[in-house]
Amino acid sequence: MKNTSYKSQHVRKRCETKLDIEFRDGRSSESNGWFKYEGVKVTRITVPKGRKFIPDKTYKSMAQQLKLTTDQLDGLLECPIKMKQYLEILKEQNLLPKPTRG
Amino acid sequence: MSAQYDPYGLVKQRDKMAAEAWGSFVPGPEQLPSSAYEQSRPNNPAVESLLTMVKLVTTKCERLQKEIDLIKKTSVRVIKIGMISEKRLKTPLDVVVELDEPGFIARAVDLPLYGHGDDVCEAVEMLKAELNSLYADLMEDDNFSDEWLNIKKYLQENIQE
Repeated sequence: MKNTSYKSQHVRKRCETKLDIEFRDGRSSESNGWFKYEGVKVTRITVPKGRKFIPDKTYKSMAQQLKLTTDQLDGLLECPIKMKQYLEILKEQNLLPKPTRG
Repeated sequence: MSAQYDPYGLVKQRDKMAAEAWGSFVPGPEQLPSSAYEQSRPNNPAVESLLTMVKLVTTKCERLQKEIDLIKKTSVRVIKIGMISEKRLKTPLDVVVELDEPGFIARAVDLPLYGHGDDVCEAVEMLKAELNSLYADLMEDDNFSDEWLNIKKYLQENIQE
C-alpha cells in the first residue's frame, strides 16, 4: 500500500485523467465523483481535500469505493493500470452494466 | 554535628523524622548522616527503600499508560446514525469509527461511504455529509449500475424527509 506516497490532489488528478471522473467539491473537506461507463454511473469515489497524505484506512476505503484492492489502486495511481485494465477489473466483478440493444 | 550541640534543633528534628519513618527503631548516630551535606544525601536505608519503591511505581505507571494508549489506538467503536441533515433514517445506519492517524475514520457498514476527520465527531459529520450528497446524486436520475439502484431503493425506503 503506497498511500504515504500520494497526496489527495495526486489521487484526484489521476482519477480525473485516467478514469475521466469529474469531481464535485462537497460541502466541507471532501470531493467526490462518479466513474461512468457508457453513461451509467458505476463507482463513486470520495477524496479528502487538501494536500495531506492519505491515512491507511482512508486509502483502503477509497480503493474499496473503486472496487479495487489497495495494490490495484497503487497501480492506478502510479502508472500501470489504465482505463482499459480498470474496465477489465470491473468486468471480472460483474459490475459493468450490460450493453443495451437498440 | 554532635548529639549534644544542636543550636538549631536539627538533630532533634532528624531524630523525630527517623522515628516516624522507622517506627520504634531509632538509629544511632553512626547510622544517620552527621553533616548537612550527608543529611541531603539519600543514603539513608529507609529513604533509599522508599526511593526504590517510588521508581517501581513510576515504571509500572508508565507501562500502564502505554497499554492504555495502545487500547485507544486499536479500539473500534460502532455507533448508529439516525439523522442526516434534516432527514430521519427509519432504520439507523451502523457506522464503525476507528483511529486512522493522524485522525479518525467513520465508515458506514452497509454503504460504500466514509468520512475522515481530526476527531471522532468531525469524521462522523463528514460521513453524514457524504450520505446526504450520495442521496442527492441518486435522486437526480436512474443512470446507475444495479448495485447503486439497489442502494437508491434502500435509501428511498429508509429516509424520511
